[in-house]
Amino acid sequence: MVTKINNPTRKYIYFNKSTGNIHDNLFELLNIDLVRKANLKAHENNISNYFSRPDKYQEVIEGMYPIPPRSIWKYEDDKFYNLNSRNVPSNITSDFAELLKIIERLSKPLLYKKIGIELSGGLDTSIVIGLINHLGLNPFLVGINSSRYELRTESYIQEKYQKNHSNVCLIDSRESLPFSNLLSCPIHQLPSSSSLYYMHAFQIAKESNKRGINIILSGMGFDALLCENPIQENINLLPEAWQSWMLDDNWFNENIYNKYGITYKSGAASPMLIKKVWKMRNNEGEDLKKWWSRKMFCGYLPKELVNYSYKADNSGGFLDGFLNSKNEILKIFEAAYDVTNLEEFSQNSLDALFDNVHKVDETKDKLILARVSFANWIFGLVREKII
Amino acid sequence: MKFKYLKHIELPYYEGDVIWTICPITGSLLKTKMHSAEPRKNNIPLKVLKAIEYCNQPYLCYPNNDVKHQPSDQKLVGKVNKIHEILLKIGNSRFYLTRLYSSFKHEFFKKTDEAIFQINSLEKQIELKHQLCLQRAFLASKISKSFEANGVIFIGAFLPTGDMHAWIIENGIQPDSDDRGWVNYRPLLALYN
Repeated sequence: MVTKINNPTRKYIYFNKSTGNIHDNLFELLNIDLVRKANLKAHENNISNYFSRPDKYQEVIEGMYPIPPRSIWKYEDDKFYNLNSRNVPSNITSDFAELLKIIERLSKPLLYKKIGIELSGGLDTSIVIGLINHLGLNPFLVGINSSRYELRTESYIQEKYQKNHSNVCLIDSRESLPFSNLLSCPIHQLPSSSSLYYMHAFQIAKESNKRGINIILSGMGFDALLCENPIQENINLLPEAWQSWMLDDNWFNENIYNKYGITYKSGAASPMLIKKVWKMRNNEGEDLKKWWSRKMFCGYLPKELVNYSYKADNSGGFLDGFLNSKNEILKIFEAAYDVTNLEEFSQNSLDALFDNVHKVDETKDKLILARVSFANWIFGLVREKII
Repeated sequence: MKFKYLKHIELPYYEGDVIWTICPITGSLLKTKMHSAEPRKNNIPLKVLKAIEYCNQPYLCYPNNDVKHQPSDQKLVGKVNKIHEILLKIGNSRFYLTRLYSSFKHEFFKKTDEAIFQINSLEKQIELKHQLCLQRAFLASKISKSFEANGVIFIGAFLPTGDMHAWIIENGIQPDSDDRGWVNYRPLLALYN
């Protein structure tokens, strides 16, 4: 049997492959038995994917698959196929002036909105800021400012914008570390590692809301756009296949920004823009240091970023947040253990996660993300008496 | 061959009542309680002071735009590889011996970035680049002529993980164009001729 699943909304909907039903609200469906049987191992595997899509998703709740916003799928013979299509003009040239025209055209709807841009202090958001400024718009710049040593360049760039720009807000990172304030995390329909970072989005949304911002642009997706080798065959197909739901962080939109009437989206969320940039980068190979974009956009960037090619590690904030939130994590593990009786949420297992956590270990970091976000999901459901 | 002792300067980092240091003899990262002792003040040479400034403000570093050097002749590659093998045999655990051995200079290369370009092409460095930063930095200091005048080796830690790294700053340049991660490490020990 073939089922077509269309999600025209701005939120995830859920397809139950056993019944063929579509649900837009899992809270009405979830009960203690379903949550008790929820598959933690599947969630651990899903953690590696940047966003949830049914063709790469392992069932956490039996039979239930998340369908991303504004996406269309076909379900046939126990497989999902994406049906979204894009018509990207093929007569795109490598001319820089044309890029500016495309950006101008894409930005027209923004003229009637109050725009914010996430000010991370890195290259990607600086490109967005530079180009939006070039259009004569005066965006609100909002960023999380960290005093961590490895982020000193990012802090310096943020502070430089603050000195030279009239509309900037920098929020102390201590108020928005990963894992912070989990006991008040918004309830969400399925477990998601994004939930552990919600305070970052919450602080940005709160400050933006004070200033009446409707839309916040981020630097999401720029790594693929500016670093990948544009002549690889599979990547070359991406402008046609690239959908905005693959770029936008839907969890933050659905659970944080939408509540403030704000849309949070990538500054690169346009197949036209992607195709244009890749056309311009056509003779370049892989460019991990983003030299092409540093050179191409040098007139739009703080001069310090033009020749800068070093990479800050964000794991320090992850570690600080995890260690600072030990008591809250203990509470949500207790709630998860009460519901599931899973050994993974026992005191011993939690102690093992904290044991030598300061040692660099990617596998363990993933385990932490998976287990804490799973427990966080259950804690929210219990707190709000959904189960 | 000449002997130019690799001197050291400790760069302790004070975090609340804790001091992070790297032992100049063993190369170990040490975390100790301060017990209200006064922070130690070092007499730091100007060359080292300037290099520290570049570490603390890496955006001021001059670009090292992936300059492609010509590969050296096989005889020279063989010599560099031999010294590298000796440094590997000495190992990280005999840090002071590494220091001492690197103080005997064989200045095969005029500039440190040329030396590092050559070192980066050694088989073991390609294989284990992240683990062999100590050997890479000390070997570069030993076989580069320009290091003596302008180079400083730094050994630092990514706190609080305890992960350590070694790199060189020379004349405001990080001469290893493959090393993007050095900015994550707080310099705790500086070594110079």
